[in-house]
Amino acid sequence: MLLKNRAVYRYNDFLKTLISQFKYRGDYALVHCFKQDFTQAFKQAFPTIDKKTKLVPIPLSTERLSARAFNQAEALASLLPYQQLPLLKRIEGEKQAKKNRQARLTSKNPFELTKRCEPEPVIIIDDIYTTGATIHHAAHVLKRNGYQKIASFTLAR
Amino acid sequence: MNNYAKRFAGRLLLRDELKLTEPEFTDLTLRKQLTPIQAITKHYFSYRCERCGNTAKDLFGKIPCSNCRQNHHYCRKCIQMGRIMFCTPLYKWTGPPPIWPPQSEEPLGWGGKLTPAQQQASDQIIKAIKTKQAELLINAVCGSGKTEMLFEGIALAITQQKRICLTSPRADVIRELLPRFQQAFPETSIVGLYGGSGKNHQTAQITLATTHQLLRYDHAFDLLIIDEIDAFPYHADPSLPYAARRAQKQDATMIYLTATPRQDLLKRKPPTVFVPVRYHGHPLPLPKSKLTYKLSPSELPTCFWNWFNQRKNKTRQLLVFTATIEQAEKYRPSLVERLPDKVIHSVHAEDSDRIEKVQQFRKKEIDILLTTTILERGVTFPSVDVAVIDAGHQVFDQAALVQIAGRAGRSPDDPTGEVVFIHDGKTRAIRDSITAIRLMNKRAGFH
Repeated sequence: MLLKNRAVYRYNDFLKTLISQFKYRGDYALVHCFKQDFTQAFKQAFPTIDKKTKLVPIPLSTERLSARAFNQAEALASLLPYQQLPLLKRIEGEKQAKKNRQARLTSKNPFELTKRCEPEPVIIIDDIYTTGATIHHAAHVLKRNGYQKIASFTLAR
Repeated sequence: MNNYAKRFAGRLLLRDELKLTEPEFTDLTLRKQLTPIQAITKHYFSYRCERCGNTAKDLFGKIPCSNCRQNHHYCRKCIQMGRIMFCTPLYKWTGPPPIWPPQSEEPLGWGGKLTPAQQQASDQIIKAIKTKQAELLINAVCGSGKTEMLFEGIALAITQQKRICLTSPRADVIRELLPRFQQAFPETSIVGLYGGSGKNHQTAQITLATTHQLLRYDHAFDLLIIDEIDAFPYHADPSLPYAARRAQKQDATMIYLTATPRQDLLKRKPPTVFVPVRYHGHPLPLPKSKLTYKLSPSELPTCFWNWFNQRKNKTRQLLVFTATIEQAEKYRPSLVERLPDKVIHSVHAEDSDRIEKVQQFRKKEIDILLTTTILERGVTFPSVDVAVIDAGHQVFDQAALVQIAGRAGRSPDDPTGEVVFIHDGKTRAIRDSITAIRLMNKRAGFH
């Protein structure tokens, strides 16, 4: 169903520490470390991209957004020269990172559409692609609302 | 209310560090027991983080805050302790001061005896506390029994219902001291704080903490003891002395403990007491300096082997210090080859088995340990000889060499140990460290 998922880096120990500082310690300034690789890898992954393509960052729950003060997916998306569209929001606050693989693959879809728009090509942006469950759920919601050209791009895999 | 006072007095905490429920928090803030202060303030052309004192502009990051809907700054310097943002205040306790329980009996449960030199230092500490002296430097050699020297003074402070803190730059020192203090002061509340201890919300009359933890305190302690004041990172990171100064109360007493005080401290000429003799009464081993014409990256020099084979006690364990992690690992194969019946390992800061290897060496399960300066201080091995390879390297400054030499001869059962500095050119550090040791021995009456 998904057109394709691409990632910039392999999620190794070093990246884990770096992303942990970025996300969990909230060190926003680190986003600038990724700019060059992120934009270059994006160009390579989507060389013939439609200019109307919108970026859809994976949303955080209101609680998490308030605590973290920023959405890491939005931060990454803002590195790219395409418009962002916050098409998704979370239904409940279920912390994905604390679930095991089984739980992630069988959990209910936590997302819903925020607003109805004319469907355009979209690329879902997130920081880490582990099982792909989060992105899969997100793509599913978009698909059933008329979006057909869906891809995803993450910082790490 | 006293419980809240005990928890928060003298602390500088973020909202989630307070660990209070919403109703508790609202109540305390409305009644002005807790007062918010701005966490990041303007400071000339830059800013200042009120927790760590950072004023370097490039250590402040900008964040598009979703709560404030605007870009503002946050402090990157102390982010490891929780993010300080422009919009998150720090909370101070402005309620009544905490009252520590009065001691009806002698708080000191330690039944040991101090050597005359230790007793002298202990008396000076007591005097300093009684007269509210601002500073006291205890220049005590490695192995002089610094911890025991503090006990009587701390006992006095406890009976005076004072709040005490002992801080060290290293977490393993705090971990080691905690049980010793709990035994020495069985009726007093004690807490050990270090990154990962999980006890950061606890408060006690005696706080043992790594220097970084002091960043959460403000005018808290009546007695502040800084152990290894010359060690990294205390002497390299200005936010740590800043935190230590701020953590003490107005008329508190600060005590510095070190075997190797640096120039910046000596220049100020603080009141000093020397403890030049080790608790077992024997002199400090005097290092030998050996010149070699070439230091090979993978083979230990001939003069090392000559020294090794001419040692008086060949069964003693050996600590070999190298300048870099790389060298510690590179020298190992040639040692293993020449000494096939000895257990030889290397250890360094990035070694995941570090703690285990140190333990094994202590239990005499390892014969020879190659190490970097990570083991230069704070560790006690009962019976070792010490060799420093490439002692002229810049990482071996005077303090480091004195501390390294101090690893030998620590046990009363084996109070001598041989120390050799192998170099390809004598540096001032080598010369001055040997002079310093000789001088301390002279002070102690050994010639």
